[in-house]
Amino acid sequence: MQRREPAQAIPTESQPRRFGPPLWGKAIVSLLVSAHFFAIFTAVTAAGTSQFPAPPLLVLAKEYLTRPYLHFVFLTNPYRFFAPNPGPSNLLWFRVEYADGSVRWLEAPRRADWTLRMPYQRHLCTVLLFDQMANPVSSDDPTTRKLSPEGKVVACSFARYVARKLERTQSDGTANPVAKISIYSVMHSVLEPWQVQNGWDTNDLRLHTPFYIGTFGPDGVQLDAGTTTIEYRVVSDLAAHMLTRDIYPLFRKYPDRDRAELLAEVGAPPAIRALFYRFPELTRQDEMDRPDLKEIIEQLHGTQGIPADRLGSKKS
Amino acid sequence: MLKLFEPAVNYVKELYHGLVDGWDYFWFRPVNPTTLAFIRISTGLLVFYIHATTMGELPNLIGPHAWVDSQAISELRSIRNEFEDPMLRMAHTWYGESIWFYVQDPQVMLVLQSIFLIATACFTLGLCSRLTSVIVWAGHLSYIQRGYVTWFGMDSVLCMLLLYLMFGPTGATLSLDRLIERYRIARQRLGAGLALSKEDLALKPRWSANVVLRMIQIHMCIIYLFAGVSKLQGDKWWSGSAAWYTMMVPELEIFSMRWLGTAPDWIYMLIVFGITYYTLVFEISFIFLVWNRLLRPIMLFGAFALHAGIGLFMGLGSFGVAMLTGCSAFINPDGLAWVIACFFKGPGGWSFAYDRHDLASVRAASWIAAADPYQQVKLTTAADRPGVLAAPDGRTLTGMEALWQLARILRCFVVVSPAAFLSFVIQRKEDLQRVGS
Repeated sequence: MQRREPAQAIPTESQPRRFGPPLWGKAIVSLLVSAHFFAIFTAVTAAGTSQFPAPPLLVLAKEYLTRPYLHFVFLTNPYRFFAPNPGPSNLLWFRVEYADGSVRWLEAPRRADWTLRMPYQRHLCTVLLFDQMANPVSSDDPTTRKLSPEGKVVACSFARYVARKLERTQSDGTANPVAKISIYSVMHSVLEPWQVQNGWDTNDLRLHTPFYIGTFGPDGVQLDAGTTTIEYRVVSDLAAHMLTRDIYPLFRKYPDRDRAELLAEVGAPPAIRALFYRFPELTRQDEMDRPDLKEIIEQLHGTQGIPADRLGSKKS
Repeated sequence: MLKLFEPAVNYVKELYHGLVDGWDYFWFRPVNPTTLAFIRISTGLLVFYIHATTMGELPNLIGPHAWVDSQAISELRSIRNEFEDPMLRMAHTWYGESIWFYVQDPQVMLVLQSIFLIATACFTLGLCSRLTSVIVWAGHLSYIQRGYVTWFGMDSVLCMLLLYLMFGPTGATLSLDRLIERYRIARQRLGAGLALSKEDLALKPRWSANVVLRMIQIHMCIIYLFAGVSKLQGDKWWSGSAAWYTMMVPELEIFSMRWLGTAPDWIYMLIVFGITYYTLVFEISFIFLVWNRLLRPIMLFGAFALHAGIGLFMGLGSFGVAMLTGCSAFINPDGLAWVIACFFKGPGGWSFAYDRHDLASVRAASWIAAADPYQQVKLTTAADRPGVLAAPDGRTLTGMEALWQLARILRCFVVVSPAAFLSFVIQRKEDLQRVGS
């Protein structure tokens, strides 16, 4: 079999180079191209992980030499898509308290709010990138994290945004301003195969891991400014608080109104609504009065364990 | 003694010439700009889609009271002042720029964003490509820099493509710019009574198109390599279960793959492990195999399969389109031109008569020449019967009839038909005046 000749051979020394710009033009283009790709190289290599820190020399090169250019043209991405491991998704839960004492919860982003994919994607990025601004204080304790200085500014801005969005007026027309906003960054874990087998749903409360960011005024000033870290909250504890402080008082106030309607009115996150749909006993008067609600929620969930036959499965 | 070093000297000389010539050939060989034009169209369509669909969300994403509001942005831009350590000051210095740092009036923002959308449409159509490419790059960059936390992988890839496209002759073909250029050449020659040859309107290869295509190609290789290599640090990628975790993200999924959790183990392993290892092998090997002429189509098909999967199961279709647009830099421009010809080349053998002393007639002939890249219509001078279109079977058509026929046989003619129609109308009017006098 004959070997095929390439379509256009590389010119040899004897053949003069006829193509392209003049030599000085080629030199300038070559220099610019090399400098550009050096900058890209520093962008992709100067991002380390806790296990594999980035080479210090490249970090220095990026910070001192190439970051101004990379940041300006927005080529700072290290392209570590879904690496080292695909992680959980994130949500933001806001507890908005008004001057009259009423409360409204908000989960962001809610997919149902958008018909088109792109606007939803943009709002989702807001939450995902905000979560990246919080780093664990130490590798031994991933449950305590600290917001970067940029993250603190963004959190204050989020509070102002929500305060503005959820402005309310009372039935008599007088203003009912937002008094304070508590923000929770909620890690929404992906269902494991064994959880699917046990009938878990994506809205299962146990898949949610809330981190308390802080409580802010409507002007974005942090009211608990002494808090320097963002801390993991046990989700059943947060759910119990939500139920006893914000949802049950509504149930008691309007005993004849539809519970689902009241839950929608208070803006209960889908995970909390799912809790009521799965365990309707939580809406009974005697359950509402029990002080150990957190334990009850945990017990209700605890009845659905992992079946022994799945433990040996490759999927688990 | 000197003879002893001769082989080494020769080797160094050969190496030097090999490197210099190879570099020269790799970067500066003029190439057909069709691939670059295709990337322009694809990128333009994607940017238009992104900004048109988020137009209603401007106040929430980049407005003065957006998620990250103007107060926060000004604080972020000066956050370096909070640090005394020079290294930290450097690390927290803001270098991004955006028109939206300065324009915050919602109505003005809407007007400017509309202008940006019009510029994107012009860029896609290839009208004033040089100017609009700069506007589209600046517009998209401004949007991303101001949004601060509204970007994702797609935007990184788009910023890369738009940056490179600014430096290339993106409007050299498949564009209105090219159509106008062809019209000007044709009108100049036909008006001067010269014949219009194939060479006069031939598409010239450009070295700048090659530089831009090479930059996109190298950048795509970097993206895939680092996306693949960094995954090797993760235990889920090693164990083969990573695909499950990417497909099951509740906030992203379009088609639920939850059924895999209850499927038999071998089906689960076949699909999940298969996708995981396919992703790893494809991303890491792309940089090595895509340069091989024989393996290139397979790698490009592999990229299509990967991004179609990401689009279907994770709802990241726009990211997939951006990545595939980048990958299309590897498509042979001559091959792409051939594929386009398959769609746009109509039947040949037609001829159009024009009178070179009649301006309207020359204009009409020039528009036909401009919209006829495959020389389907032969232009002939005939002072006695200008504006007559002759079919291969000898039939003759005039006026609107000829116009409709041209639109049928010249597929690009649809774009120029308004201008050609005007030429015909003017000619018709002049004919009537002639008959009247």
